[in-house]
Amino acid sequence: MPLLQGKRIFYVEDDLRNRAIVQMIVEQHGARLSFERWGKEAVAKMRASLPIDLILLDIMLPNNVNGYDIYAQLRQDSAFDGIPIAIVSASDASLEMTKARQLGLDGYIAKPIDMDLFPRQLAHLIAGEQVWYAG
Amino acid sequence: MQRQSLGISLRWRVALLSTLAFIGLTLALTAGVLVAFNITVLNLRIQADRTAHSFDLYIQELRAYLDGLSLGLRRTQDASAFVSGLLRRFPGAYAVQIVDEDGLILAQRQRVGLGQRRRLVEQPWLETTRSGQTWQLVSSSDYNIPVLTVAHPVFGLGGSDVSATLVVQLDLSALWDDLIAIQIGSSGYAFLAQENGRLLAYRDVERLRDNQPVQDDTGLSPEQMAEISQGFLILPQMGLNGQLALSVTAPLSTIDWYATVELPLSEVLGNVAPSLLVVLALLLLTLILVLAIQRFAQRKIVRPLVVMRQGVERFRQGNLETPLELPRQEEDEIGVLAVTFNDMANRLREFINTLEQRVADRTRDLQIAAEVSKRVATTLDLDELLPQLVDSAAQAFGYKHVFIFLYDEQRNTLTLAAGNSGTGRQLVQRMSERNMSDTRSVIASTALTRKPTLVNDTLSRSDFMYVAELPDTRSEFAVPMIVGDRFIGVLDFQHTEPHTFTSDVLLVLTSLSEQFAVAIQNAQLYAEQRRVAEELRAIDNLKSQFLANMSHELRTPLNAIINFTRFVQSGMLGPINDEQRDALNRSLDSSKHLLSIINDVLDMTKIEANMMQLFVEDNVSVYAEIDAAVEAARTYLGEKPVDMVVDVPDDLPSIVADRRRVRQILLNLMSNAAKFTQEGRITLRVRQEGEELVFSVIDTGPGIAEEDREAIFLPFQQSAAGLRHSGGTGLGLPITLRLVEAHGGRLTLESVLGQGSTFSFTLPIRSERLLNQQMIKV
Repeated sequence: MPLLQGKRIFYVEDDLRNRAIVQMIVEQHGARLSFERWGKEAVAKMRASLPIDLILLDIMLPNNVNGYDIYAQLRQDSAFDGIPIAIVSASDASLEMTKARQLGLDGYIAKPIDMDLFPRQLAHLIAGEQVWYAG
Repeated sequence: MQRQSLGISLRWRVALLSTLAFIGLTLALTAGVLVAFNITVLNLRIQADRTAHSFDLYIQELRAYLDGLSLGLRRTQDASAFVSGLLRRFPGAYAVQIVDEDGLILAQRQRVGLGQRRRLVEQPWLETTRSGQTWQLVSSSDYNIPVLTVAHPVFGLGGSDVSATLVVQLDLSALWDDLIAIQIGSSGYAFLAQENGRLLAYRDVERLRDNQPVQDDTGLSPEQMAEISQGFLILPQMGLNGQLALSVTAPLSTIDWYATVELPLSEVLGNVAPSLLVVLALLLLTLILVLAIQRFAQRKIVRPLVVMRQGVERFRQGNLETPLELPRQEEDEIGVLAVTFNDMANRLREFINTLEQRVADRTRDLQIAAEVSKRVATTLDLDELLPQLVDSAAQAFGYKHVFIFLYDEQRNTLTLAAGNSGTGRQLVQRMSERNMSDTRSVIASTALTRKPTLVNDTLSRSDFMYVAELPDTRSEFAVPMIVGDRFIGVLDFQHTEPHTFTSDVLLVLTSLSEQFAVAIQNAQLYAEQRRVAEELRAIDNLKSQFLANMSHELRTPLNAIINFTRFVQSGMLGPINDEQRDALNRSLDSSKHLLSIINDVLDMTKIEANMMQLFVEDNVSVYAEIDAAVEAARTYLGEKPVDMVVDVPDDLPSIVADRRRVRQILLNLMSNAAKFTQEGRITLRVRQEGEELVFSVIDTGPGIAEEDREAIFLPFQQSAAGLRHSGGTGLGLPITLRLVEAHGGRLTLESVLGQGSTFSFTLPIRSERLLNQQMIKV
């Protein structure tokens, strides 16, 4: 059985190439991926997409929105309680990972992602474990 | 040293003085008494002498008279008539007899009761007169009063050749009158006595009749008689009148009688008494005087001195409250001294009280100053600090106005920066800069001279510049605020009363100004630092923003490149042949190499910018990282004839570390070894040594020249060998070194050129430092 069979994953990412890559990898492992590109409507969209097994956030988003802001909104919304949230970012991991951990995120996966490792990392996250991957 | 009481010494002296005076006076008294006594005695001697002499005269006259009578008898015929006539003419005669040689009475007449006798025999005078001498006898038993019997020879009685004797018995009372007439003092008296003590003449007839001797014994002793015959006998004895008397006796020259004058001792003393009294009075007076002096001295000097000594003792013990209390207020030196002393004590007390008050005031001021300083020292915001300073200073010390002027060094101007109360605040808003050169201004001159300026009374200074808003200022004190050499500004105090700035207050205010200056300087420095820090922070933000952007902009395309390439390579997107796969592998290798270069450059940039952080985790197992590093090294080695030896025990503990960085360190060292070693062996040895893990990467490569050993740890530099070798940014070792050090470990290099190199590094197994601050800046 595929590693991520039936899992619903929501991914906030403005770069279409990265989105395509992630989509290709997770769908190959049986998961369903929902997207939000601009960040602003992300939370509303996510609520509409519930139930969700995992939320992945990019940091650098357009229009002065970043992944941490969305994370903060999600944390204030009890609808998302218990859903693991992780960062997937091309930002400097040695700077951002610490910050993410301090903010209470469940993991950080640095880009470039490893198509072999990535599905396993997502499975760990869905299983409630923390994942800190700096590449 | 024994303390000599002035009182006792004074008493001794007074006693000595009185004794001397007493002795002197006693001597004088004795002398006076002796003189008086001697005068009395001399007087008595003269009297005695005169008495004796007058009786001598009597006796001589008597003999002369009897001679005349005897001549008359030779011529007379009628002896009886002669005798009768004689008796008549001789009133003192009791009886007259004429006796022949045989004792036959030839004629006789008598006044009273003599018996008719014819013949007198065995009369003692018979023989005597026969030989032609006059004989006399005093007192016969025939009479109860002393009677003088005189027998005088008469030759050729009545013209015949019959020798007879004229016997006359004389009454001595005639002498009495003479005796009584002699006045000796007021109570003295004279008497006439015979050798045998028979009293012959005395004023007391009864006493004469007693026929008692003058003295109880039989008369004077032979020695006394001898003495009398020499002149005088002077002796005190029981006088005739029964009183003790001073008795002076003189002998008669004509007869063996003696005359004695006696003066009762009471009168003798009475004579002496006046001088004695005078002397006694003097003595008493002296004694009284001495005692008075002593008493005076005691009262006036000694007692006050004792009181003063006690007072001084009290003062010495610190009791200044109880004044000296002399028994009496006097205006003499001691009284003045006591008053002066009390005055001194009062002033001393007042001084002490004033001093205590001053110390208390000053202490309070300093406490206030300290409080104010403490309060403001915690404030670093200048805009908040300055109003606090002036308000608290004005409130604490009660000044109407307190101002702070700040000095602008660059523009050389003073600016009113703070003022208490509403007026002060308004002035701050209205007044701008102050001209530093106007010397009439208290503030400006203080700023110019850098010395405090004090105006005790503004009315007394004609050039005092009144500020319209501060019309009630009467005294002003401006202090420069200086820290080290730096002039901060001027602190200005104004009061509505003149002469309010005493020297004590000035000291406190000056001290306060120093503290204000420090507080203001601190705030200024803090503001400056904060400004600089903000600039730096802005720069840092820019840097980190740049880094983030760089990372993001480089990795995002790489992510696409690598992953799409892998998609193709993995056949996900359709079947590929071996040549295509090989090409895609090369592409992937290049991508990964590019990624590693990007990572290194970013790491080094972060290190240089001091922005590198460790992502510290607990329980990091080193085995996975070792495996990864060994695997990478094997890849690098390829077909080279190099043995890979992994010497790692099974029981290594997990450590506290940044997992990725540990792998990065190992990868760096292992890949370097693999890169440079052409043959031989690469050994990775790990050991636990105490609280550390020691990793050693030992190769048989070319080694590193001595001169290169420092340079290879510097960024962007490579050894000659490194440069020759293709690839590498030259950042690996510098980054590795920093990462090891960031973990609290050490990186060491041993190398023999041509034989190989050994890079060793340590990692603490459990670094509390890392755990406690999981974000470690490198």
